Amino acid sequence: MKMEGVIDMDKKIISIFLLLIIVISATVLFVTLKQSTSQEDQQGYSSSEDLTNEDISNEIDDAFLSDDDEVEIGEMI
Amino acid sequence: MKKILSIIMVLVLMISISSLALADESEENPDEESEGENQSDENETEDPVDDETEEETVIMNTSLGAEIRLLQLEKAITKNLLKGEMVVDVLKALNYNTSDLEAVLSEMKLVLEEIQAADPQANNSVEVFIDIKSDAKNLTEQFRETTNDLLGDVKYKEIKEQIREIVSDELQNYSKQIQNRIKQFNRNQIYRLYGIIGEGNNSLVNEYMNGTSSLAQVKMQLCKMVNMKMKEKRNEIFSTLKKEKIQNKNHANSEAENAAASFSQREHERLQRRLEQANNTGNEKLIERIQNRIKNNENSSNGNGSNNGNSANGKGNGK
Repeated sequence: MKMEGVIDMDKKIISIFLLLIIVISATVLFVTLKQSTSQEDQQGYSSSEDLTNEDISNEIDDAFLSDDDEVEIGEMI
Repeated sequence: MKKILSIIMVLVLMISISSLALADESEENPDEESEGENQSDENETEDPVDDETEEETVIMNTSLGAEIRLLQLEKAITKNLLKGEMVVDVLKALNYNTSDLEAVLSEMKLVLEEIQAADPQANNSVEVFIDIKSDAKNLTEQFRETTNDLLGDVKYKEIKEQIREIVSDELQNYSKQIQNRIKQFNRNQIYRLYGIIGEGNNSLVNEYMNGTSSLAQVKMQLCKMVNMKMKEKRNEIFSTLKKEKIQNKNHANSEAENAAASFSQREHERLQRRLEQANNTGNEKLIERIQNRIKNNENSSNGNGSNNGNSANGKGNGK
């Protein structure tokens, strides 16, 4: 009886241990994936992704100066 | 049993610590590139060229772009001078002692003369823009702070309400000149984009120049032209635009870094020139003010760090 109780306890501990490993692995995987996607974002456009109208529009916008463009040096009062 | 438990606990602890370390690494992203960025961020806090100014110098790689920036700065200084004179008039009427404020305005007039004499085609036009903008910003801040010290918060707000926007023929004339140059600049940009896209439409340029089409309409037409292209061509256009933009930014960045490196020395030379001019005018308050600024500049150059003069005595390196 005592021996069976010890074996049951061992199983419980092992299953808790396995569960913990799964949770930690999932966390590590999530962090790693998040890191790689943020690196891709920093690199910007890659040829494999499709360009949106907004991407092109932004680049064209940046080429021009708006009519009311000004240099700011602050207010006197 | 206790042994098994303690082994498991140690294992769990080790795995948790290693995952925490990994998470920290990903947040810090400690590759060489980001280290470089961090270093440049740190440097930015020390040099006299802020991000906004560096952005403004991007178009100064052409003489037309340089002309636009110098004119815009000239207009901003003129506007502040007019406003400053108005403030002094109001304060004089209220029997305040405005001699410090007048000295700031006198130096601002010298700064205005310097920018009026600047040549947009000269190789050092970026340096001149950075130097004069920095001086103009400092003088504006000194004027504002001195006025605030003189009046106190309540009266300051009252006067601020009285003096709002200025309408002046001189400022309108500047605005017209600037708008005209901006149109020319944008026309050149349209032709540059036509070159990249591989086709053009002269009537669109003419419509923009004579005011029939707005800049927004021009941009929309250009977007349409790009979107009608095949996917590969669109990607090529986008890459070219992006590459050229990065090249221009890098160029502006290196020019700004060079300008920042010798800023202190140039500031000293500018102040010496202004002192000579002040001596010619015989304006005692202005002479005293510039002499104080030269002293502060020399102290900060020698590393004494005693750049703690009052608001009317200048701010050393401009930041």
